[in-house]
Amino acid sequence: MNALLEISGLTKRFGGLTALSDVSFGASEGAITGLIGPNGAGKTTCFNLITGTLPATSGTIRFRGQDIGGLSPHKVVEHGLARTFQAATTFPAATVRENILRGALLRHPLGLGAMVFGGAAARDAERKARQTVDEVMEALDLTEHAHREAGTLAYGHQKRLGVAIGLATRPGLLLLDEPAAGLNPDEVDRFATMLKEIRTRFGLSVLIVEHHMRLIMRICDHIVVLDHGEKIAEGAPEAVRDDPKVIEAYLGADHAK
Amino acid sequence: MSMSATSSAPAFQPMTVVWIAGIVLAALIPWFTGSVFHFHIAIMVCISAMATGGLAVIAWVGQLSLAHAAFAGIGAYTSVLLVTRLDVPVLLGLPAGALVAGAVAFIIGAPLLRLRGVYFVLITFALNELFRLIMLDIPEFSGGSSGIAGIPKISLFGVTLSNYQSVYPFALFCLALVMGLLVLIRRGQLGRRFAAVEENLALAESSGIPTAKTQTIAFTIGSAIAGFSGAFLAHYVGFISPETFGFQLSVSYVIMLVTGGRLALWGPLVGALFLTPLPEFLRGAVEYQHVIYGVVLIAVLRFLPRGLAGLPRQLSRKGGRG
Ligand SMILES: Nc1ncnc2c1ncn2[C@@H]1O[C@H](COP(=O)(O)OP(=O)(O)OP(=O)(O)O)[C@@H](O)[C@H]1O
Ligand SMILES: [Mg+2]
Repeated sequence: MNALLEISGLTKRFGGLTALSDVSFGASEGAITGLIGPNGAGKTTCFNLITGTLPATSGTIRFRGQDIGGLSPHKVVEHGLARTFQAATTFPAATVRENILRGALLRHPLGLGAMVFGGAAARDAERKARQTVDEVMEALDLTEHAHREAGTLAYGHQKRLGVAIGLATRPGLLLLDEPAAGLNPDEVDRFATMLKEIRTRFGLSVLIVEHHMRLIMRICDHIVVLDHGEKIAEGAPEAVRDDPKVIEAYLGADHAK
Repeated sequence: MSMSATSSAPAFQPMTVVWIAGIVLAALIPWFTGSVFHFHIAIMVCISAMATGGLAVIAWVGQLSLAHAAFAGIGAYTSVLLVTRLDVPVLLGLPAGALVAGAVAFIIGAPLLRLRGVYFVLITFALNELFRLIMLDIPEFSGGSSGIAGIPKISLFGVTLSNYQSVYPFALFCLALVMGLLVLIRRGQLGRRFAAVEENLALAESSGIPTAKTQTIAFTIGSAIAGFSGAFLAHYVGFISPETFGFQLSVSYVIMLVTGGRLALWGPLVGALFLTPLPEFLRGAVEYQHVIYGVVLIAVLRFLPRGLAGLPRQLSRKGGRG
């Protein structure tokens, strides 16, 4: 498999704290890659570095062979790398449709004049973006909520809307930060099915952070394990599950609580 | 505020029609009464509404500028100096004032807008004071603390607007232009970006919206409008000094905006319409303007979270439930 995303020697220090230390791994084209580890392992920090939300202390990030380190987040999305946030994150005062449209318009850029004065180009852009919105809403089962204000949605729907906004930017790689956190077991199962569907339908690759082990084992092709900012294991789900270092990291973390 | 950016909504909501009707009626009052005093107040409402409209554009990306009076001042001094020293027609001086104020905002916007919330409020407050001090320091341009008097009146193609009755239609026309621009921005893709940035900056950025650039655009447009209003004020009143554009004026604009409705399209107009005449009509209360504004602000924050422009919606919701 081709490495779509290649990370090497990624390090992030917050003052004295090393949140991520010399981490290297890849995400393959077409695959669902899991990034797991106990609380505070550095998973979200890793996402923040990849997406340009935070500057890396050192290390390189390549996407489709291009160095994307140091780009601002909106540029990273343009390259085809979208992310969702750990908390349910939406545009609360806008409708579901409008939320997704704000992501979809990325692929239909306009000049400042057209953005203010409208015109044929603006109408065309919006019409095309709305097609994407309809497609994404249908795939993520949000169509019935299209006209609801995002802030009034149930938590699970808000999380799904977060995924929808990211998907609407038509990414090659979608980074999901704990998309199943706070969902009930039924919703988790539905989410797993949905994720596999959208992967095929939109030709996606996925990098997913999740504490929900059953979900991770079920959907991932490849898993990377972090602990205290370091990569401690990597491989196929079964191999990782049985790795003594991984078991110890999780048990150790549990004992510490 | 999101509904404005949704093109599936009807072009004009019923509430909008009510607002427009009310505003048109209010605009006609001076002609009904024929009072020169009413014409004067109506012109001042137009000028405040333009300035507050500019402030609204900045508020749409989630920032509150306390340097708005300084940008009005930049516009005013630009136009006055061009007209008095270089014999530029006033009709060109007004847009030149907007242009220079916008250019200054564009240049200082990028570093400034990295600060958010209360930090942005504080830095813009400091900037407004800085503007005043600099102007006091260059009396050869600003007239120093005694200001510049006898500023030429607005004239259109050789016709000087010498009395209140003739200035008023032009003030209404300029206000209509400003409000028209606000409507265009709100309904277009730029307004959609503004709303996204205001509602959730981090999500906007990771949805591909260049948030820093978007905020700079809003700050530039809003400050340019302030510059235009300041230039208009200068040529209408005929006198300016650095004190004219002190931070109290910035605070007044903020109060007008919040009173009218910070994120409502018609908020700036409603706020200016309500607050500009208030001290004038409460006999002898002009010197207590800031007290009155303060009381109104507290009342609005307490009882009308969406401002006056949100009042009908607030009432109809209550009625609908009962
Ligand atoms: N902006 C920041 N400033 C300072 N420290 C930070 C910052 N972001 C994260 N950290 C620290 O870095 C470490 C890794 O945090 P991170 O959020 O990446 O963990 P995580 O693996 O996502 O954990 P969780 O499973 O709880 O979400 C933690 O100790 C955290 O406190
Ligand atoms: Mg995390």
